[in-house]
Amino acid sequence: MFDVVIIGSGVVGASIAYELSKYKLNICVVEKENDVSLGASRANSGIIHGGYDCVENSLMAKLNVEGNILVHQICKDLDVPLKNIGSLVIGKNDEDKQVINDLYNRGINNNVKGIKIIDSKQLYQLEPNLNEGFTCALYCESASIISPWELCIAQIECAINNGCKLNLNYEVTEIVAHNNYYTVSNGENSIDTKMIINASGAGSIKIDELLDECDYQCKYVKGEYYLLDKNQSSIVNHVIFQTPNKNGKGILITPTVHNNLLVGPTATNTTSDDTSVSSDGLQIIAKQVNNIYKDINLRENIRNFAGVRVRSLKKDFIIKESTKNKNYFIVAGIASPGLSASVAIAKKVVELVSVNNQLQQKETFINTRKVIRFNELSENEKIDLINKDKNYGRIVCRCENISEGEIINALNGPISISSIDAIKRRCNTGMGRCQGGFCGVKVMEIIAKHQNIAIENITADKKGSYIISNVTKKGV
Amino acid sequence: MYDVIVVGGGPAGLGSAISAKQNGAKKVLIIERDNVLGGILNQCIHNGFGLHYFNEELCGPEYADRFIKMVKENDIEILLDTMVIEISDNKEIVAINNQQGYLKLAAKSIVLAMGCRERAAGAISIPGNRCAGIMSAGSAQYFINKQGYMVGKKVVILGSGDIGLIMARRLVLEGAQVLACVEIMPYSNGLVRNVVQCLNDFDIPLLLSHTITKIIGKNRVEKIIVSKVDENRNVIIGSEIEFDCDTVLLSVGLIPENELSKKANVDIDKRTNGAIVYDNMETSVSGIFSCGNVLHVHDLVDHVTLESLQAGKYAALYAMNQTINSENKTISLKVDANIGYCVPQKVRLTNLNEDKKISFRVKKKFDSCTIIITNANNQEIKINKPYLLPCEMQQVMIKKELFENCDEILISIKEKGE
Repeated sequence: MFDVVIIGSGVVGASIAYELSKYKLNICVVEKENDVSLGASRANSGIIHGGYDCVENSLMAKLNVEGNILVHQICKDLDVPLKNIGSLVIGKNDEDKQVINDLYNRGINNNVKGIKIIDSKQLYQLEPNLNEGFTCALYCESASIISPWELCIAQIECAINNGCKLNLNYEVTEIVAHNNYYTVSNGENSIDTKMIINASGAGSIKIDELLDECDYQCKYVKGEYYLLDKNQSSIVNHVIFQTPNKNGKGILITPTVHNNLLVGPTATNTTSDDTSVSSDGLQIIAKQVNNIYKDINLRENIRNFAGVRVRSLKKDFIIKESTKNKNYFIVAGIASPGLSASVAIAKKVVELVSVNNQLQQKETFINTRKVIRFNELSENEKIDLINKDKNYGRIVCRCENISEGEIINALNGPISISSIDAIKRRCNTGMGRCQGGFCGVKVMEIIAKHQNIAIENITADKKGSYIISNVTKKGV
Repeated sequence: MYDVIVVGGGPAGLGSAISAKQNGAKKVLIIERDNVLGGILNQCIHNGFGLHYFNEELCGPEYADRFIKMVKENDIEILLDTMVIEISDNKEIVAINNQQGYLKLAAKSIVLAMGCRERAAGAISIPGNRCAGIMSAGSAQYFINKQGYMVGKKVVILGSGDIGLIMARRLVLEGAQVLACVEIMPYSNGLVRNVVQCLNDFDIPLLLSHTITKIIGKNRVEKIIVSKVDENRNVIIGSEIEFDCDTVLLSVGLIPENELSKKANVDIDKRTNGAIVYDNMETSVSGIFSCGNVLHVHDLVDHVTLESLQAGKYAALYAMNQTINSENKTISLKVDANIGYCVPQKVRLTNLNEDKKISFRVKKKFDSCTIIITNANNQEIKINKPYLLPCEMQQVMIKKELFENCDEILISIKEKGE
């Protein structure tokens, strides 16, 4: 019998698993895909927002601001890439200036630290490559950029190291409520648990319906992006937002922690699993980007992608215990700024759980994680590392200079993985301009050898994304 | 201290190392990232190599093997499975491998011969899903020819570059269906002989002025939409054709891999994406030379070899202190709007003891036309051509006399009747 089953291993489920694993609890995370972080958590802007954009007194505002502060220590403890580069909402005219003023006031009310309105001179000092004509901006010092999937992976790994179980490829299809416990099943294996936390992102309503729950409605909004080559990243220094107007928020432009430049997102209503990019969406981005920075060249694109965010129609996060089913907790509608708030959402869930359950802290909680990133080491560190382990001397991904040693580390990690993209999320192979054209096959060979599986069974990404269809005639 | 270090052990690296040795360099080293020499030739098991250089037809591995043998006979040092991660402009190389670890190597001169990579799917922003089954033609070639694995059963090829055409035939021979080769331009981007031998002979339709406008598939490609484009490459609504397929192979261009060159502060030509070089294949950094597909993308390996022999020779002469000071006066080679680029881009006045071979590519298709080479004194060379195609690199020899007493040479194309 588990104490807690967490359904979903996106950044919200991961944060909850991490927080709860600090307590003497038997926890199991179940995930329908073959790795963690495969929903909205891997396809978003990668921003830790300041918190001035959320409606005052909302759960969003409170948890965004709290999360913004908490995330720094977690990233430090668990070695997650985070850069505190600050954000700017840039404006051109009096109308924009008014909106920027309103945002500033909202920020102050939300208790956002380090925000100020700056004039055009200060703006161009911060962003010298910005097109001419911008007159003012809201500067938010506390905004950061982060690797969202690494935040997710790190927290799950830490939870596992502290005793949490992770069941991948486990899609919950049935939940039975007993008197004081639940049985969760995927149709093959069932798990008994005292509590359930539904953190299944775009799938939350489907899970709730298994218990005849669900008193909220959501809509699904697709955001499409361009991810540009590293040669574009030096053009922009901060997270750049346009001033929202009657046409919406417009696209944002931001460097990523991996030194690429990210441009997007669009916002179109869609279904819960549609992550295709459209020519209309790409055109919307293309039309806007050079109105902000004329030097950004979309022909330096290395990848387009889309993510689906789930917005509750109440326009706020839903974090609550079910009124019908005791010890069934719902964490839903976690749209932007969900990533920024995720670690505070987890604290909030712990609070809710502890209302009816005595939580005891573990005496020992392993709160460290170290990732070797060969590329970032000094010359002497590189020499020492290769001397210790020769696998670091073999470079596999030539665009990003990722060594075989780093790939083997990822494969030795607490989460059992066997796809090329799972390696990519952990050590950045194939993140460069050739997008795995050269290293993809080498990564497959290393996975096959290390996990002792046939190369034909290695997928690019999720189940079914096979790469090899059959064998050749072998000269027959 | 090496006389010459060659970065890359493909055809350009092999040729330049042999030439360096034969022109007097004593200590020559090739650094190759793969575990064998030969580069991409090792996966090019089709024939058609060597017609110009050896006057016989070889397959890729055979062509490479001839040079690998010469490398071994010439007592050239080799580091395999070794990645160069830094080159400084004072010609220090940092390389790593899993045997010797971290290596710092110095050379009197360096030849950059890292080759090129394929343009990836991201660079062309095809709408639709990001499912498996979208792969560059070269990656598919590696899987099939080197590993013995097929990458799909029903394939559409986007782009008509030579690798795409070669792979169309290869896939059919291995039992796959190739439904079409789709090319956005109104002409093929591959050599005519490859269109005939790889598509026409196998009844594979070549859809010119068409492109893929959507890829559909949850986890693996399931279907694609192909549309016709107008003369400005805008999609014509209503022209959509559906193909049920599991694979899309991309053959949409090659890009010289100059990340290391940039670290060495070598000036790059935006048109070629390769180094700007003098007639001796020397880059803007004294003593660093460049040749082969890292300099500009070639159609034929024979041309790569000839260029690499030049680079190797002059790298050796530089190492032996017989070179000419790079600060001497130079002649610029310019091209008109019909031509994409030319290589070399500059000729040194002090190096006018021989005629100069200039390579260039036209930007669009020309029927009956004339290549005109003019110097500042209005002396001209005219070469009539029945046609010129962007996919066929042109090479012209310019007599050394034409360079005398001028600071600029212009290469232009004149269409018949103009």
